[in-house]
Amino acid sequence: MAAPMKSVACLIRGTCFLQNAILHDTRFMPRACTHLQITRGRRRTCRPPSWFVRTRTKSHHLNQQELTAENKGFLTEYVEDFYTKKFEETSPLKDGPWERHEWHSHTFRTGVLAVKIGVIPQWDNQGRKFHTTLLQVLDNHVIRYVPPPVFEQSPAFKSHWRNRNGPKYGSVVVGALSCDPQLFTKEYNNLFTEAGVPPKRKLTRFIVTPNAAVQPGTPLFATHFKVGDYVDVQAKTIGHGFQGVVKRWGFKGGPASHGTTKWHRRPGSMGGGREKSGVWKGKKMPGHMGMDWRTLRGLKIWRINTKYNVLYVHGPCIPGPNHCYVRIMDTTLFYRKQAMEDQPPYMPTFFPEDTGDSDLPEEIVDEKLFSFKEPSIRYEEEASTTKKAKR
Amino acid sequence: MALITRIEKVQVVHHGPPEDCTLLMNKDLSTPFSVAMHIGELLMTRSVVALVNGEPWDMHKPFTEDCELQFLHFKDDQPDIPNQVFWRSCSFILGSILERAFKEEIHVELCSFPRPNVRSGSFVYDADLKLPDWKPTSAELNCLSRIGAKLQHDDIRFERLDVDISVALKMFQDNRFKILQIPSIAAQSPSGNSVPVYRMGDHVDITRGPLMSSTQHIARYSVTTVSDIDSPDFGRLKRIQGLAIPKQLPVSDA
Repeated sequence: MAAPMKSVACLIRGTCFLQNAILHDTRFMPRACTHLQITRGRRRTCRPPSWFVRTRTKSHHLNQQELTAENKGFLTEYVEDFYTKKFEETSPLKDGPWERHEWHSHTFRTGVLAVKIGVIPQWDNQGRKFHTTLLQVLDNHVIRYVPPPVFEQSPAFKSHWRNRNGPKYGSVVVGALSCDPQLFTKEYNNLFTEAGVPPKRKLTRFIVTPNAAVQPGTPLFATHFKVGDYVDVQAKTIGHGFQGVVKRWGFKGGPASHGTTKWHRRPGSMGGGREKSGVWKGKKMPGHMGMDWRTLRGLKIWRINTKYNVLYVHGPCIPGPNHCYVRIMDTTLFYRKQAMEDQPPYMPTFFPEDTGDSDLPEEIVDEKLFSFKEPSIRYEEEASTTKKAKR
Repeated sequence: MALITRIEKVQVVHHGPPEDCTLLMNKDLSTPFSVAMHIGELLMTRSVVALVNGEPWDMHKPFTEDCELQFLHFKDDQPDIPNQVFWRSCSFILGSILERAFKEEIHVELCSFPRPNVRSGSFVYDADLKLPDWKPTSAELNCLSRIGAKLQHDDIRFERLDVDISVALKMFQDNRFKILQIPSIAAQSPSGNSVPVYRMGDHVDITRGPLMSSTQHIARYSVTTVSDIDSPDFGRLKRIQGLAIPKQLPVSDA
């Protein structure tokens, strides 16, 4: 067979999906493109390029003609006011407070860094007792906000936080407990120059959506959350050091007596034989136990003390010993988030002006919590149906 | 050769820790701060203001004659003078914040600040902000406070200059209040014609002084309230109050 002719490349124009295909061999003509016209010369298409944005509306002239003179004047005035910002109450400061955006269901607000004080019982309106953990929000300030394009470059950014439009999340660095700068190095103190706050003893980072950006230097209080809200709590568990298999994994061990020779707390068999031979990866063995980050999700806030910034969070099992640092965030549980749709939380955080004219009460208590100032719970007497014992 | 002026020497006798000593310094050139540099870093960093012949004297004001020198800091047995100096400097800084924090369209005219009174609870600056209905939110006050708090990292000196009354009027020609105040201030000076002007970086203002050595003494700075006052001489003004704590006196937050 003769070598295929090097034909002159010609551009095929058509409306089918093989538009702009360059065919070097004119002998090959796909069956689908029988209506294509072969034209020489420059590439042309009726479709605009991807970067094109239409400047004028097609019906602009028609709309202008339909307007009355009064309405035209009104529109001109509106446009002027919009661009001189008379509608929005902006701050007279050059470097003023950042704009406060609306909450939507895919918002991630900043969290708060608290200290675990301890566990205390509470009672509900039915008289049932449950335990709550006190978490004190100690002197929190936002240290830095990193917008999504910048956060994307940092090693802390995870690839699944990206979608086809780009990075979804920025990050907020929050610090707790102001300290004397003389305790720290110059490099550490320099981290806090942007925020204009004293250096903090503990720093943490929260992943936020751009609509929840907080200005560096903003204080965060316990009232960042509301009573009745559900929160996720993260902390490092109590460190138990190197532990054996009975404590670490709950193995049964062996009998304490009845002649057992040197086999009381040992793991026993390590695996099977034949096809299952060898010790498998992940085999439960003695090792380091504790000092792991654990998250408890969907914990209810029963009470807030605004004077000391203490949250009363449901349950006695917050990870970590007393006085450990605890990260608190809005919950990600789907059904618990439904309540936030009706009463959106403070965005991006609580400011003292959000209470309006009234002062913030010292204790904010959930309506289902029993108040000891109220009279005691009374149960109605039921009519006695028991038979009297026969003598 | 005639253009090179002769530098005269003055004898400065230093009293106080680490040791009593006598130094020969340059007249109209050397300052108490340069004496501190000769003696040691401790005096450089902790000294707020100096006592020259018993009078409060700026750390960066040159010597004019033979004198006796003492350095004052916040942890003295009687820290009244350093406290007053600190309070006065913080008012001065508040003026600088007010001039720089607002947008270009708003022409802030600083009026004055009263004598420092530590017992009053805050330092104060009166100014005409041209914003009669402005009620600052906590976030806005926070923004103003941050400007003051950041100054501690820049370590800006307070420098004094005694200028002639005509020069002072030219310097403050944009400020209708200062123009009225300058003649009376000048009349109080020993020569009758000089106005004490202080400079902190780009900011210049009139105050009797003395001011502290530099902004590095500030640990915490916050602007607390903005309220309306009616001044008998200058009309409706805004009174801006603030609070500050020096580095030598750390305060627990928890």
